Amino acid sequence: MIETATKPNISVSEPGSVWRENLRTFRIASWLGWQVESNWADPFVFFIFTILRPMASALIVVVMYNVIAGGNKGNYFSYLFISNAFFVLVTQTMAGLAWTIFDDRENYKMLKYIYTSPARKFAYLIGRAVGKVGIGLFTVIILLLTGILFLGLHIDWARVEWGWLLAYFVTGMLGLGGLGIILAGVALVIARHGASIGEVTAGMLLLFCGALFPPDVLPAGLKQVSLALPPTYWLEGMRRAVNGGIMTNISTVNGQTVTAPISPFLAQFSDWQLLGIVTGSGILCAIGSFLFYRWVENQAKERGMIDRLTGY
Amino acid sequence: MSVEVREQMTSTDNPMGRPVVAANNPLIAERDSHDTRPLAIKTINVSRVYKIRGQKNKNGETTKTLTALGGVDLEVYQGELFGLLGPNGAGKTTLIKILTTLLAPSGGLCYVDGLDVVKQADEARRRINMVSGGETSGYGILTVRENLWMFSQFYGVSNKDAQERITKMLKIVELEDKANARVSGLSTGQRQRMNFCRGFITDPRVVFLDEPTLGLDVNAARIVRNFTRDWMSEDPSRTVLLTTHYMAEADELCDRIAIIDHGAVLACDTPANLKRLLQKQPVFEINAGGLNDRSLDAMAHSPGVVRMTSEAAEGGSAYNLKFILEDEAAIGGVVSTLAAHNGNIISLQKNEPTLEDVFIKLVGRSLSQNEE
Repeated sequence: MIETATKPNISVSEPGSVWRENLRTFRIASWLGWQVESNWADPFVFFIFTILRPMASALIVVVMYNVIAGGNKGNYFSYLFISNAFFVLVTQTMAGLAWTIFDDRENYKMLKYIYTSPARKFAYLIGRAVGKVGIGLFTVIILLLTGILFLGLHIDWARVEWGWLLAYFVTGMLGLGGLGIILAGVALVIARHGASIGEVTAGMLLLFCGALFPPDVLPAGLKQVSLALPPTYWLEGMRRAVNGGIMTNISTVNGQTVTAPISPFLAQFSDWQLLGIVTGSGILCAIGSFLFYRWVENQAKERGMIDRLTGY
Repeated sequence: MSVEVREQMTSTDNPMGRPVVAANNPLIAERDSHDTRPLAIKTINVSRVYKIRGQKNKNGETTKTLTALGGVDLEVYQGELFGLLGPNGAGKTTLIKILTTLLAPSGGLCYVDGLDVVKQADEARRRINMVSGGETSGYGILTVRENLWMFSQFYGVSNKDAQERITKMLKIVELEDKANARVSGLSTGQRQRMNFCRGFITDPRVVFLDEPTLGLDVNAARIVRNFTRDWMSEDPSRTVLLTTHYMAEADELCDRIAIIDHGAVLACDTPANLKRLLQKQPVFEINAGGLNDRSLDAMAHSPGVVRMTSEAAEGGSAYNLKFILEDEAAIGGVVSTLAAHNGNIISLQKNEPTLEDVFIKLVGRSLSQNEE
């Protein structure tokens, strides 16, 4: 330290100051995230982007299924609908976090001011995600209600395992948040493509994480990709919790009715094992994302990317 | 407006046209050994080199680089309003980015309020704030008050203090009637004034103002300048580092000024001392017609001309010429050359040296002129 200055207002050595800053940043960023996400001033825009868009994506899948299945709404329809409803949270969290970086840097031009402030950047990103997860949850509920009321989706509310649902949701968010922060880190060091990286990744995940079809039906190589993705196990957990058990398909083989799990591979895990996988992968993602973001932040500082406008 | 500079080679230039700064530059005022004022900012040989993509040798090493800062040493005292003056691309903003922890230096050391901005970035951020002019930043969905309040919270300002400061600041910048208006509905100038408030709402120890009056109307720019001075006078430990294109602004506001070009500090002193550099070199301004490139070149190379700038005026039929001369007698040679090339003098006057003249002398071109 060179000869200078007087005592700072806050000292690094002051116990708890870092934690206080983290909590404060999280609280303010959550508030900001909610303000940005819940643009109630324009209900039409809110309705289009928050409700209609994910609903349209889910309905496309439903229509495709109906065409193929000839209007037969078996258990696979429930598998498909519930998976797609919860997949909204994957998109909202992961794509949303990457979008936060792009939005703050290019649209609001505030990222540099956030970075030069004492706001804790990791807590800031997590806080900004809270609003997105809230909106995502709201959309999931609307989607499920639409399915039940208009599309013949059957959910036995008495069988819903609320405890497991909560456990899977919380631990899954850890993993999804971690993956989202990794994408946010990537968005920090790439140009305007940062705007679409979240959506592109979420689109890839839709194919591979068991939202459209179980990993068992994928070619061997792609099946391994699917099984390496934390959202695959999270979606299975959410399906089980809503369904009150492993989802099965009923088919007729040689005149006999056969009941088999829709995903035999995932069915081999008990709820506790599945929760263990979701929790373990969630913790790994969280730690990994923290380390990755720190590294990529340094890269961005080295390359002068934090305040560089690329979208014009 | 086109401004050209015709110059003679001087001892401070190299053949590439880039000023050479000696290790012991006499134009950079040394710190008085009895001066005990603490430093708010200190940079030691700070450099910043950008690698240009796509230019690699066989070993995959980047071969093309751009030097934005080439070893800058600066000392800014606590309580000082310090100006960085330089043309576009001189390295002013790069230096501010490094000092505000946005950009990593390629080499050297930077201290703000006693903290290494690279190794103690989190701690340094608690004590600083910055404002960039000429931009439309802000969360459009939030009101002006909400935007400012949010930032005050990041710095841990109490809610009561924050609200009081916001009300006070908005009144000063004449935005109080927009306090509850959404930022998306503000004009560019109003957004800039809000952004200016954001820089001070946290009561920072060191504020970095990067062209704060850029794009503001005359009245708003005056408010910003007055406030900056008043804010400094309220507490002698507050420090401002200001970059500006406006010579008059730098002259009016700054206690000391560093003139920077091509990533190097060419001179650093008080505005008065800098202007004294030209005490023995008179400045003349001639408005003349009937000139062409040849006659302009001839005048620039007249004996005793240190620098000459030319600016087309009256639709190109005349030129405003500014001369920095070795001595007054040299004006005779200039006038003779002008007459020999069939030029006609509309007016001729001797001017008191301004910072603009100092800048032209040191940098070789006027501030409004981009390098060719």
